[in-house]
Amino acid sequence: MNFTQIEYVIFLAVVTLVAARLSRPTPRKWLLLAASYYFYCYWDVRFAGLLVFSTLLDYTVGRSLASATAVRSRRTWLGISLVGNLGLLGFFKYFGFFVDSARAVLGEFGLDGSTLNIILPIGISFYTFQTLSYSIDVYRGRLVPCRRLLDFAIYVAFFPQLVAGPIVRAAEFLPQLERMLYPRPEQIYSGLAQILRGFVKKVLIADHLAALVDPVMAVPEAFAWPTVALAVLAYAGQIYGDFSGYSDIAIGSARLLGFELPNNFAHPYLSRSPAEFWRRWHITLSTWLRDYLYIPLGGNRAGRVQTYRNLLATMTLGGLWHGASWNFVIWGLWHGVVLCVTRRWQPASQASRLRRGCETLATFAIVLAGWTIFRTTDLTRFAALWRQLLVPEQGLLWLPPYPLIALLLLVIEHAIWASRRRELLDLRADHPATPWLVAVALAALAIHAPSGFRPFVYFQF
Amino acid sequence: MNPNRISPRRWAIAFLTTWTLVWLSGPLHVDSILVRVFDPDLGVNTLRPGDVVRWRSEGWAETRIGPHGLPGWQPRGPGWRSNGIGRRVVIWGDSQVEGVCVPDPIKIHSQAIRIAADHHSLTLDCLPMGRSGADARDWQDLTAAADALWQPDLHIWVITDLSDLTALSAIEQPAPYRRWTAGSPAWVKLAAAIRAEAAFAVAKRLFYDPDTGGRRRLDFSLGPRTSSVAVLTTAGEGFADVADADGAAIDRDDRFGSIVAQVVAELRSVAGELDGRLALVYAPSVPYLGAGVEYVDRDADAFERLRRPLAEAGIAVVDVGDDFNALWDQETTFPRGFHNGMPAAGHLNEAGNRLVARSIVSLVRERLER
Repeated sequence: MNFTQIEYVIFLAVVTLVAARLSRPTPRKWLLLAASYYFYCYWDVRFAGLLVFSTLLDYTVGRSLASATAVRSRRTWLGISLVGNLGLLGFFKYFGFFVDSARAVLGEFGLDGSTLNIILPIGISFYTFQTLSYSIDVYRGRLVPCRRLLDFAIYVAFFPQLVAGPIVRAAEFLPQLERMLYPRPEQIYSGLAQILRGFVKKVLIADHLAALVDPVMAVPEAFAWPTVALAVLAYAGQIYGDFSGYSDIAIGSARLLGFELPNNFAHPYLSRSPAEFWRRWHITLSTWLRDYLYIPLGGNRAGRVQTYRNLLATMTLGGLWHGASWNFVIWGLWHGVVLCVTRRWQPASQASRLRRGCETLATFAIVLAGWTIFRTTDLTRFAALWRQLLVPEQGLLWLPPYPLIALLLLVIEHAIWASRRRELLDLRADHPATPWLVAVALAALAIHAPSGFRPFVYFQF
Repeated sequence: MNPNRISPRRWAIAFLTTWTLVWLSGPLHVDSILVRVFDPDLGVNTLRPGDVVRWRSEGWAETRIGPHGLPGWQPRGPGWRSNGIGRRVVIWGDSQVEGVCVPDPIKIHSQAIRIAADHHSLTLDCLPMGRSGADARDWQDLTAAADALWQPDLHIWVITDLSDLTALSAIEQPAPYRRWTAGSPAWVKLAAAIRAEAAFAVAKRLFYDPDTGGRRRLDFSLGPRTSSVAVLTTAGEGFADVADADGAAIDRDDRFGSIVAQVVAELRSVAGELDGRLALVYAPSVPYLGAGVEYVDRDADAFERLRRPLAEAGIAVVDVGDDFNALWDQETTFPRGFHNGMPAAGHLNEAGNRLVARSIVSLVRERLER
């Protein structure tokens, strides 16, 4: 069920209202679990088994780690979790990729190999990372294992963040399940405001930008260079609007049910260095990779060369996490190299406005270059895009109005956030501008939402 | 101050003011509400003559509805044909001929009249019998009434999607024309009168599914979700992927062979009723954006299989595909698409209309030279 479908709005309203009517925690928990499994099965009922498997595996590992005292035994249990989760992810997400890559190599030698088409279960990258982090935290002794299977099952399957995050740590979520608080009125208001913000970002910004991005990225050589340049900018806006919009709707939906999820974005395009960008973009994944990959690899504690190696490995694997395709691997590697090269680039806190602007622009340019790798699925398209930008040939000059307005909205939103009027974006109920902003947003959504169904970009990951 | 205190009065004023502004500014950004009334001469409901139809969702244009609901057409004065050199054609088609996304002077029929006059000193009257969603079955149904009303020298069917023509083979289906042009109920006329386009647009968005074009149905069933497979081709898909509803492959050649036979038989019959005053203009969806700029019509093979028997039956067919491709090669312009739509897709734009109009004029001249 897509967050922007009418069905989801009805589903969320029903779940929220029924949850509010239930006075005892256990029935509310059962309702959340049932709603979450229904939400997942709405996509494909066959994959519910994977969710059950992942839940039972890490619940059992957690309980066993709690009772095991011997180091070897604890390591074995952690190994079971790692093999189980990564095996699941590897099989469903990467099997085809490696088989296809092997076939391509075999093909070079005139050999052929058969391949198996495996459907990617939606959300698998997100919930396996959640369950992995749970087992690792219990193993490290940083988390008391969950006693109730029901609670753990809700943690794994909680529908607002099930299919595309934010990646929630058990330490953040399980205590909330213990308390099972009802949402306060201000929480309900702020949840609705966050959902509205998410809808605006996804429907009015990302989906309109996609109308420009899709045709230009498919055939860049057909378009004049200003259109291609605009499409690259638009893609940066699209993926931000799409994913941060999704995250806003997820956080807002959870808040309506009384749960707080971690923030996933903090206006990353205003970052002044690539390292800062990664502290503000897809925050829950970045911190996951930092805590469960980069630091265990040694982080920056073992000398320069080791640090570079760790950075490259973390970012490349982070790229591969996005999808089983070489462009994601290269995109990750690109960011790894950039982080290595700019490691000494520490933006000064007292820098002049000009310097801050230049740093932000330079970081944005690096990110944009990365997005061209991320978006183009083959080398031919990538080369055509850059050829049209660097050595322009004749093409169609196409400047569609809706995407231009969407880009402008995004720029204005960032400018407001960077200014002293940031509270405007919070849509606080007592702010005089809020009723006007809400009314205009709802009218624009009702009349100017692009027609047709557009799934969230991150659902494919 | 309590940060979550809500002032209902302030909210009410904001919402009322915003929607009033939306209502007032509707003409700038919302399509018109189409009102259809009964036309006794044609025997069907048509767009209401005298209305001005705004189109905003693709292109940006106003269309003045002429007599008999013909979009952008105004009748010539009396006696224009009396000198014997005036010619009249009726062009039939779907929304491409209706042309509401381009202003009246650049619609197909207007450009044809102008090209005939400017380049060939030919006085031409060109009547656009285009209806959104109409196909050959509808044109066939209305041909007799239109012929009796206007006595044209030629009827030209403008085919922009081959499935519009192959609809002739589905003889078991009832003619959908009268369904599409059902008269507008009173509430639609009222909504148009009070200019409630914005509210109408919202209602349409809520109650109609833009992906299917049909009424929105809420679907709460469990997955996996499978998309429906069309039995016949749909716009732009070509005949390459014909499958039955169960997904089993059908013998494409056999199936299409029988469709061709039925279509040709129907066209022979129409041409016979019109004493041969029937011609076809084929405006395929080329060039289009695929792996690159693609020049080959996805329905080229199917069209060729139709073209030969039609030529044998004496029905002239002009293919505008080469002109469309040349337009891109020479002017870096696509014949379809608008600044606010998808390039190389959707409706014909000014340049595409010009090329179709040129073909129409050449067909008329060819007819005159016979």
